[in-house]
Amino acid sequence: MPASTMSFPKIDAFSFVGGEARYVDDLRPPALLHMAVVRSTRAHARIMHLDTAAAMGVPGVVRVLAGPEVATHLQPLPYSFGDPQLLGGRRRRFDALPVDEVRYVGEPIAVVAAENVRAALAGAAAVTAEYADLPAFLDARVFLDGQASGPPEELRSHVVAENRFSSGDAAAAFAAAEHQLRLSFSMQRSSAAPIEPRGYLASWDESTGRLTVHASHQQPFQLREQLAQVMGLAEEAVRIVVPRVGGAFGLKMTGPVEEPLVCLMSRLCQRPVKWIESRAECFLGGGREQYHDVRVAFDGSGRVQAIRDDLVVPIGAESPAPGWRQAFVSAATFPTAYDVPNVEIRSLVVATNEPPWHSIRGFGKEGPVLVMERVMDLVARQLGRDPADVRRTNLVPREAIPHRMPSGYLIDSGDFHAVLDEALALADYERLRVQVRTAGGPDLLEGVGMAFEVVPEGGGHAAGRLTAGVAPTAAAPESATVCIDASGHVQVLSGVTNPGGGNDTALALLAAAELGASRSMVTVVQGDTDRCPPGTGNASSRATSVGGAAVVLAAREVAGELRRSAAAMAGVPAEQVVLRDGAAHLPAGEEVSLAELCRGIVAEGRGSSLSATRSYQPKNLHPGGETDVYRYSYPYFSSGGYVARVAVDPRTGTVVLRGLTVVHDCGRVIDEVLVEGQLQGAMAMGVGLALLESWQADPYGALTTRSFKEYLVARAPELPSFTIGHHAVPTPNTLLGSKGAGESGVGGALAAVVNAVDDALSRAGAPPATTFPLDPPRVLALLAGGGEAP
Amino acid sequence: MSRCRVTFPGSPADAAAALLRIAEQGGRPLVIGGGTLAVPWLSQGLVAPTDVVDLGRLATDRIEESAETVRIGAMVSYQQLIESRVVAARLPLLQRMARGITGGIQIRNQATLGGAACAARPYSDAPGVLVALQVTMAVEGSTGRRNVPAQDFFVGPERPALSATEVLVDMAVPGSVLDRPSGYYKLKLGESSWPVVTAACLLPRGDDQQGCNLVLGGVGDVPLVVPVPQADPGELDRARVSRAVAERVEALPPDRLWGDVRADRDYRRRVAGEVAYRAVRRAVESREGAR
Repeated sequence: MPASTMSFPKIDAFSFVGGEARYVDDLRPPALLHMAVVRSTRAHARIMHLDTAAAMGVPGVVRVLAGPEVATHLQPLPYSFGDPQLLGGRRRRFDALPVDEVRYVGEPIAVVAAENVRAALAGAAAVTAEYADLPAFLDARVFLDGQASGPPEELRSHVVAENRFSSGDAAAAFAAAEHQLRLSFSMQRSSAAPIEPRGYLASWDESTGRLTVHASHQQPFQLREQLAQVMGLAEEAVRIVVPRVGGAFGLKMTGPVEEPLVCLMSRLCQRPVKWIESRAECFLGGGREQYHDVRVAFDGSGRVQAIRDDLVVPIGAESPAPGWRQAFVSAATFPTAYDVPNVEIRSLVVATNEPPWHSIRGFGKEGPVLVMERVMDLVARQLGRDPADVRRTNLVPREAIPHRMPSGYLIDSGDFHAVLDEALALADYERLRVQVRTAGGPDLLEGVGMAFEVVPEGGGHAAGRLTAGVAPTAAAPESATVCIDASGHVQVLSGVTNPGGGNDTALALLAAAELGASRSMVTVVQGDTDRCPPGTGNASSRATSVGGAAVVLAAREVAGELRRSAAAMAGVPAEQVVLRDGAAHLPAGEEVSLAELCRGIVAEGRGSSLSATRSYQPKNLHPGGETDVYRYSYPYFSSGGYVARVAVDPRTGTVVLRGLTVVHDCGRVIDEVLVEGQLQGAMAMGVGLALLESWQADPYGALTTRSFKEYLVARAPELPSFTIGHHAVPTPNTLLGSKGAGESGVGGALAAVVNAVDDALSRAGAPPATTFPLDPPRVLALLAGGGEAP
Repeated sequence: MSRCRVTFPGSPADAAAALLRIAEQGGRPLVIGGGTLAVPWLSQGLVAPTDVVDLGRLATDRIEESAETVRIGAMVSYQQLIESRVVAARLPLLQRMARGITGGIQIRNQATLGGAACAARPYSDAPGVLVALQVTMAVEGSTGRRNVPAQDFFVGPERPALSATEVLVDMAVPGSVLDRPSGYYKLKLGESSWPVVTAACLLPRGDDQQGCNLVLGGVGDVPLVVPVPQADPGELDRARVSRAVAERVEALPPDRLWGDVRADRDYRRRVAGEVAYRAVRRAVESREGAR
């Protein structure tokens, strides 16, 4: 039976909405200490003096740690996701706490452990620092000038990586171009903003020499590996347990310095120590900011002949956490779903004195979608053509897939024309297009916009040609153990984790389908490095597609054993036994319940349960006739066509989103409810990025968007009910043919909403929208004829 | 660890006496009304008072109607304003404002009108509405009680006309503004956030010779009273209102204009006329509706 036709409820939904779910902050072991972090108040400065004596005098404070002491206990922090040279990046040394220099406002400079949270905060407030300011680099846009000739010498120290991808001959195409456009785009810095910020509870056991860390985290096995390395422990001496997680969106990958610091504090104090991030601390992190200087050459039909993009990506202060890697992905994802014969992408990845980038949903893929979709609209506008037609003219045709992108990324599957056309039909685009021209009036400007999104997924961001001296890369596996005990209960242990979206339901469903079990018979265990087989946690939209494949393989093995046992009992061939409805059905119409079958197996002395562990790696199916050799690429691309309808109040600049439609291809849909839940959340995030979300700092680099009162996200009252359709083109690169449904929607919704607002504004004579978000002040400025931020 | 004493005065005079005592001892008091601002500050360690003075037992949470006034206790919550029949019937402006307060039912039940007045945030709803309603603020201090017109109560951003030893007791709405057609318009940039610009408008009752009260919030650092030319409300068109607002805003010294991370001064100035007009239009519509 195909799994997607089964009705499988999310069994723990009530524990989340009813407040019963236990998060890391709900864990309060005896003798618990609380940690607070002392943070730099300067964007860039030498630490002249750090005084912790007063903090030690605060009642309740147990220990204060600063950089010099920490350096005697901890090894330098390793880079997450491999060496930066994989991405053409420079490497540097990172210590958990700085000894002599701070690089951003909010950088941890000391940590304080105390008997309670208030004492820890009071202790942190009592730590004083004297600084000698150094020049702070806060605006990377200076790199936009003269980017073609390379960055000027005095700015070179800020350059972390230069990424260049090209195909064809862009210079020749521009020389011969019938039409050209030059466009600048500025995408704002934004933040992941999960409901639950980060948090860790470290418990060092001196008697066993073991460290147990409960963490609100996406990657328990990576955290285990890195903590072991930094703490000088064997991996087996570290156990990571992930309780319920209230959203992650990339923020909770490995790398922040509080991770080793809370562990060190526990080891030094010989007591459990907890650190829970405050909302303002959570908002320090950011990502996505990028500046594009784009040139496009196209003919009279709207066919894009060449695109050149000089982009500057400010990643904040350098960090071992994976956030900065998104800059590479942004550059490598050009020119998204379009077949552009001549491409030249020149990206400068630049360190600034702002807080480091954290990973954030979309992982760099949403920026190029926004740029390419603005380009398609503006090409259409210049030619007076329907933007849908211009997209149809340029989309990679189905028969050209698999399609190698200039970066080496491999589009594995998809039918972009069909997906776009279905989205337009579902949204009734032709009617909307007429309607927005006749509706409205001086008090309301109506607009419709579309976008086409591709999302490389499944892990494999460091792609490229494999030439001499270039290190190869490989697919990361996921693994799962499936066991069934004497009572017939099925336990799935998986190396992928659940950030709150409910992938446990999909894993249970996949195991149950193989075993003929019901939902109530299946328990899923995730996030415990002592119990689960290893995996990547939740990252790169692969928990179900790759993690689920490992579950299916393990469950198939167990199911085979069950069939063989039943067959042996009945004396029939195993292939005639069908597992269904919690029983093995025999050809004669008899059935043996799984529990009974298992009891028999146990009684035979074949162990207390039947168990199998399997791992799975996605593949890369290469296009035929390819002569170059490439690194491993993201194994699958999901895609989507998006249509947004907006109304703009021209007197206040406010935008109301009237409708948002998507037709999405994530390959085989394992669980429609879960896929659509992911899409709803991602699209809401995209709407927020289009209209509201903006990380802001004062002229000295100090965060000013410290709460949800200043950092605005789209919430239910601001969102219409989304219309979602599916068009499944299975990938050949995964066992189940399923692709990702975690990151899709951010870039598509963002670009469609922006294009819809721009459609409305352009008919009122405004210049093209190029700076984001399109918040009311910016919309008013555009209507007043200004292209730049007010 | 920081510790503080908590006192629960039973009357405004007790509260004033407690504040005087704290001041004489050189303490740092934190006065808590509904607590929706102050309690998060406390729990986040953003303030370190020596004393917390909790007004929860003052018994100033009543709405009293008399022939000449409606008296609203300082501790009356937004939810009480929403549910009060007196407010619904005689002060629809106040009810409309309370309905639009950002936050869920918890905030509306906990947060108080008096607390919002004392917080005196330029971007919050209450100050502008209290000025439009020409409310008299009764303030209790160690030397007795005094009355302050709302317009004088808001001295600057987060600066109410309260000394360190005074508490707000109640807000008296004069009979002259009761039962008047009113309109309220709030512009905010995100559902979850605070207002950017607000406008409250009261039209004359029937054929009275009263003027139109028009007050802007979030444009200046205190509520801005906009003089509107005497005219038939039907003639208060967009151009006329916008001109009146523009003149009032231009007359303001630039350093008295308000801007914050949600929107800068320029945006607020640009939309002020339109926001004011929408409040006026709603007031006119409510008058037409009543006829």
